[in-house]
Amino acid sequence: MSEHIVSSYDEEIKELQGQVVSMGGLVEKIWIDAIESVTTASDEMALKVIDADKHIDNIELEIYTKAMRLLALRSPVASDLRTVVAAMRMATNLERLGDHAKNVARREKLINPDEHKEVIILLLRMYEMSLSALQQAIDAYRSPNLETAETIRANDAGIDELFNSTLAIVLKLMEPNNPPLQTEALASLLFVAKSLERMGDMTTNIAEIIIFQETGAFPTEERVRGGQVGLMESQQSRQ
Amino acid sequence: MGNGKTNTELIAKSLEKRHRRQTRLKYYGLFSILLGITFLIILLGSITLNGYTALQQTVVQISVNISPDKVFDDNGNISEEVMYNTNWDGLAKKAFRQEFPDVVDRKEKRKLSDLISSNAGYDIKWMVSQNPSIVGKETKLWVKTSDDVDQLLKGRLTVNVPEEQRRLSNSQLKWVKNLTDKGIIKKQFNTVFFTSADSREPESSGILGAIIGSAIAMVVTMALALPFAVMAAIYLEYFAKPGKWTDFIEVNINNLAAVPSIVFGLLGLAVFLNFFELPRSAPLVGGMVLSLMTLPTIIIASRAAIRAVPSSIRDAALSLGASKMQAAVDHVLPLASPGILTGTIIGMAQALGETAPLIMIGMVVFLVDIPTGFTDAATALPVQIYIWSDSAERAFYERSSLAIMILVLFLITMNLLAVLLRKKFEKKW
Amino acid sequence: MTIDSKIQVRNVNVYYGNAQALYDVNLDIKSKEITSLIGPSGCGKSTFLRCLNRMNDVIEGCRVEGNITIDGENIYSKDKDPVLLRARVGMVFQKPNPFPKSIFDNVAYGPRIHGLAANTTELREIVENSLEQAGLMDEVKDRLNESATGLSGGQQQRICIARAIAVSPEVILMDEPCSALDPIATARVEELMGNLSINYTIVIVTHSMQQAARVSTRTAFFHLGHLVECDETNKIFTTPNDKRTEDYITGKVG
Repeated sequence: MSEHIVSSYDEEIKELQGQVVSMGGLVEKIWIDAIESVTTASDEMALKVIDADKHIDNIELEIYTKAMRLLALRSPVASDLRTVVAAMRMATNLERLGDHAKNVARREKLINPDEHKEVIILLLRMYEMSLSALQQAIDAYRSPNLETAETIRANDAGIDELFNSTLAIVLKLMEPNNPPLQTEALASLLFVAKSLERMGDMTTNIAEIIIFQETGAFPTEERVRGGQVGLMESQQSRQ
Repeated sequence: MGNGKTNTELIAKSLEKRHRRQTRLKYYGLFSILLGITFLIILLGSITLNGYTALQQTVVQISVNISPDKVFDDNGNISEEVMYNTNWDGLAKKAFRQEFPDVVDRKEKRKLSDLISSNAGYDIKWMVSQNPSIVGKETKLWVKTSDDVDQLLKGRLTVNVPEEQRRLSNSQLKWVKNLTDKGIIKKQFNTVFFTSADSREPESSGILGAIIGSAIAMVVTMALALPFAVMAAIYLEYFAKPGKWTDFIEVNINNLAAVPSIVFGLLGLAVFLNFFELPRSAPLVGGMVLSLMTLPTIIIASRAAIRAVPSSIRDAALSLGASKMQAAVDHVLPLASPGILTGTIIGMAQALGETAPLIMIGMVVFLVDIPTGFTDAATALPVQIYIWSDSAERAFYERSSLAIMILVLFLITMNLLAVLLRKKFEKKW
Repeated sequence: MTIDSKIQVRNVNVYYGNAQALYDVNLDIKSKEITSLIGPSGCGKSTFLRCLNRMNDVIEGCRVEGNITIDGENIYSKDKDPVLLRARVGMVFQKPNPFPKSIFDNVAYGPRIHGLAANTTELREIVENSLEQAGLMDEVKDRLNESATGLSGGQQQRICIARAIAVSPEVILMDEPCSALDPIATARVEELMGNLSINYTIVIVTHSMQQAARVSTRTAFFHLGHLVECDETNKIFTTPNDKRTEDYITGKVG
């Protein structure tokens, strides 16, 4: 990539992108911690996650401030404009990813990692896929890689499938005569599953942002989404 | 950063030197200007010192009693014919000699008569024709003295040399002293100088003929040079395609501006006088020759003025669909006109001071009549100066200085006008 | 190409003496739309603009090859008079260049030389109408007889626009019309350009890319005498096709 004649312009854009990347790193970390807090039933870890999310929120604000400054002072166009817009959208997505990690950590108290093993195994598989996708996505953002971005987009369907399976199992486990605590635990597991599913969606968003940043195109091709269908099926099966 | 000094110190050090150099240069320039001004003052000063006395003319009072039969015809009317036959000169001399009744020797009487102007008789005749009531009674009239007396009273005649080397003899000096004592000799404003043409006698010679001759020539010059020059300038700036021919023309115009003026005189002599057989000594021909000489100057000035009009004005006109000619005439010429006029005035001033070409076409003539038309024989201011400065009489010398003063005055006026025009109409773009 | 293209430029090469200024330019300029020409200094955009009303004819040693048609008529054919062409294609220059005459005479000059008004009433109408269109009438209606050079830079430029539209041209060419104006005056002229584009085809050369982005529907990018690309302004400023365009508009070392 050729450089701007005004080198401080380059520096500002690099700084903005660097901040997005480091925010991505924090989000990865907070997700790892959030899942760990659930699997190890660590209240301390959960609190740490909730605290770290506030920090991520602050970084989002910083990125917005920087981006607005760039827009106002440099009037970026073409690839520069797309880079700045991409950075802002990245920040939004990463902030939401952080929120979801926080939500998972909040569920930690209600979940006993030794119960509902079959659900937890599925959740961990979803987590592994989502986390790996997120890591790849952030790498693909750091050094733009369209191929990786396309792969991430295509792989999201797998996470959606897993979510549907989890949903089906949880719905089966939910019996009207369950004790309230158990129902609450099952609901919490479902929330975690939903957050993991959203994590996949947002990672796909990140992949799309990368594609937009590099090509200017907004990917319009509908992704395969299993969630709605699965819910309908399970609703029908209950009737 | 040498010698361990900071940049500021080094700069401060060199600054002093640079300031000194600047001051030195400033004084050199000032000195040059002062030198120029000094010489100008010496030149103008010496001319003024020599010339201002010509503003005055010495006159002497004589008592005359003109008998009516010398003026009026049988019917009692004033008659040119009768007056023509009168010996006015003798009358004047006789009247003057009455002041010195004890001078009887013929030779002495002639010397005495020489003290008044040989044109004194004409002066009396002129006074009579203006005012016939002085006829037939004892009247006191002021008539011009001879140029020698005039110069003596102005202190320009050396008297402390042996008599035979002097223009005035001992007795003549005595008579003048006598007149001075009686108080009937005085200096008055030299009206004649501004109202008549040349004369053999300095006291009767004037510059009006030359001024009118110059003026007519200038009118002709202006009328010929300005339109041709402006048209040539427009053509060269707007229509001529650059190329060998245009370059050739341009080089020649610049050359023409540098050609010695006498060459134009020779050209005028050969073409206008010998080939076209136009009248000699005519201000018409003088003006034509001067216009040839001024043409390149005005062309160059006009081109510069046209070029100084920003091309954006021309572009604006052209972009609206004006033709080149419309753009030039409607917009560029009006804006260039102050510059063109300035150039013209400077060219005219140059032409006004020109002598050599006029000499070649015979405008160097002795004329006692003031020219009244384009083809009348005439002379011009600088030529008049040339003629007078060549004459023997001291009185002509002071007159030629005064004429130079007048010429310089004209030139200053014209150049001042050019500067004022430029100031007034100068546009900032 | 398209039916509504007002000006068609085909294989245009321009030379100044031995130096070539434009190489094989092909461009369609659409009717009643603003097309902006951008590019670095010396890229040939002004030269190209001046081809459209043959103002290049005035420049010594300038030679234009190729075809430029307006409404299908070749403007460079032998029987076409540039004077007539310039009445159809008006021009506004970089520096406001009102004639040092009254406001009225400035605007009336074009109609006068072309004999567009039968009498003074008609002439007055044309002048007032043009000033109205140029959005200047309210500002100058009480001083039509005052010198146009006494107006502010922005007003002078709008006088020049009024002067151009007084001959009712079909196309108006603008050569960096706002480069000598302050932002407020620039905004006024840009607003005016927007209004004028309803009735006139406008081609503008500008060094301000923001201006090109703000005012024009289509943008053409010139580089070293080549037309690099011409597309919707929106496209050029978000996702240009050519690397050279991208580098230029983002301010990168080419």
